[in-house]
Amino acid sequence: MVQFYVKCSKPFETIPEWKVIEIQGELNLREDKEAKKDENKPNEGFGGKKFGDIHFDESGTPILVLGHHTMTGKITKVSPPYGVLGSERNEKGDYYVEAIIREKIIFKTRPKPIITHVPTRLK
Amino acid sequence: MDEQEQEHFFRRAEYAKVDREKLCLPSASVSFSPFVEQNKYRLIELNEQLESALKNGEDVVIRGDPQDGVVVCTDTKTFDIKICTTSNELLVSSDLIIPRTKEGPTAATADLVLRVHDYMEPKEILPKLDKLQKLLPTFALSNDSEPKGISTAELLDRVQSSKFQLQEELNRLGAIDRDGWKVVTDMERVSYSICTAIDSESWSLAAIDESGMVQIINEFEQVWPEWAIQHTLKALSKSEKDGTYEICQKKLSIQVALFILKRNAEETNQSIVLEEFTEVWKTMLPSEVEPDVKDLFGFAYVSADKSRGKTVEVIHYLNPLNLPGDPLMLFNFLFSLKKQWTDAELQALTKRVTPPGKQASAIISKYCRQSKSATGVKLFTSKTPNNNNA
Repeated sequence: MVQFYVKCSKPFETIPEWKVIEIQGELNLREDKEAKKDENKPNEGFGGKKFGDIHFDESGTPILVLGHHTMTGKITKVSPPYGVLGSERNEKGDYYVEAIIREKIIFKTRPKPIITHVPTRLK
Repeated sequence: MDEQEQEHFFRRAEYAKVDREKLCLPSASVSFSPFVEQNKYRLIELNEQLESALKNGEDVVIRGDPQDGVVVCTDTKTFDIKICTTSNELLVSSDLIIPRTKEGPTAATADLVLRVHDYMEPKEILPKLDKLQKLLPTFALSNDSEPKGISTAELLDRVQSSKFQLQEELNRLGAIDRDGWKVVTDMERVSYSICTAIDSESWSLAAIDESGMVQIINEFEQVWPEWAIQHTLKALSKSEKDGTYEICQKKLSIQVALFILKRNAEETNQSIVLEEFTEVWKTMLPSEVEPDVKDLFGFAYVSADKSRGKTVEVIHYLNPLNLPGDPLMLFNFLFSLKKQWTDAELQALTKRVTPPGKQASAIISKYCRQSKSATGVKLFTSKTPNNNNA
């Protein structure tokens, strides 16, 4: 057995700070019928797909616009912070801490539907 | 994001009733990166110790054999790694900006590089040192030839422990680094020779000269090699300066007690009556040393013997190398030796299996039932009925 070292990819102070967006439950992709037909096409899953838009109102509250829904969230501190570890070892056999996460945006409210067209009441 | 994309972006916001004029900027258009499904990263919680180890450039190492669980060590501490699963989805973005002001570029793109439901959580544990006893070659100075030792690097490859904790355990076992680490199993014999020399020369324990000691012990023939005397002096002393040692009374008295107990176990295979033992022990030690049986708990235990006509207290040798490292196995083993243990005895024996941040008493009360003797002494029996019936 050998020992695997965990090292910083850069001097500790200059490691980039990444963010986490935490949502309740699980994201599912709408079934891609075209892709299912073509078995040779690799399943890319979420790769390259659009997630949503995030805005921050004047008090700093994050608003997520996801498909036809919006959610408001909260910015919270991650304590203790997460280290983002490369899952593969580099050529020297070491694992690298690529980034540190000290803040996350958590969305735990029920999504509200966006209603763009309100039918007028029949007289 | 070009102008047209920005236009679309803010139109979507309008539909969602987001007031563009009252936003902190930039807003973010978030997409999954093309390699998000490849799980290129893992999240690990960086507790205070791990973070400061990385900050100070200390080694942070994953250690152990393939069949062992994952353990991460800093220079001084050992952590077990648990995988924590959360029902929430964690989406990691490498470039999302959380804006604090209204003055910023209007919109930016952000990539999600990882999508996970779990993260690694380090939990401080005791180093897993059981393997060390199997890896360390042992030999008796009096009858074996010296084996080849095992290097620190080799030990760290196999044993799940930080460097500091490994070194502490090597010291506790009395290991010596001579062409690799090895354990001298009869160091108490050398200690006894040292004790006899101190007594006969009436030297003060506060200043023992190494060369003088070697000369006295090996005056007529070589009794012990010079390195063994030096190693034992180091193990027995509180401090050393230029070959002069200040001997620790407690350590010396423990080694002499071990000498008596081990010799007795080899010769008669019977326990010694405590009173006789204490008397012999006192006469063997220099007059300034006041021995205390409590110091021996951890290497020996006292029990009542009814086989000699009347009930007498007897003392038995307990080899620390044979004690299991797992608390349940340790207590099962102890209760197979005798049914009732005193608090002082158990405190000394459970220190090694007490996880960081816990008290030995907590471990004792988890595995033992407490009672009081007629004289008011706390006594502990097993919670497992089988151990009490045996």
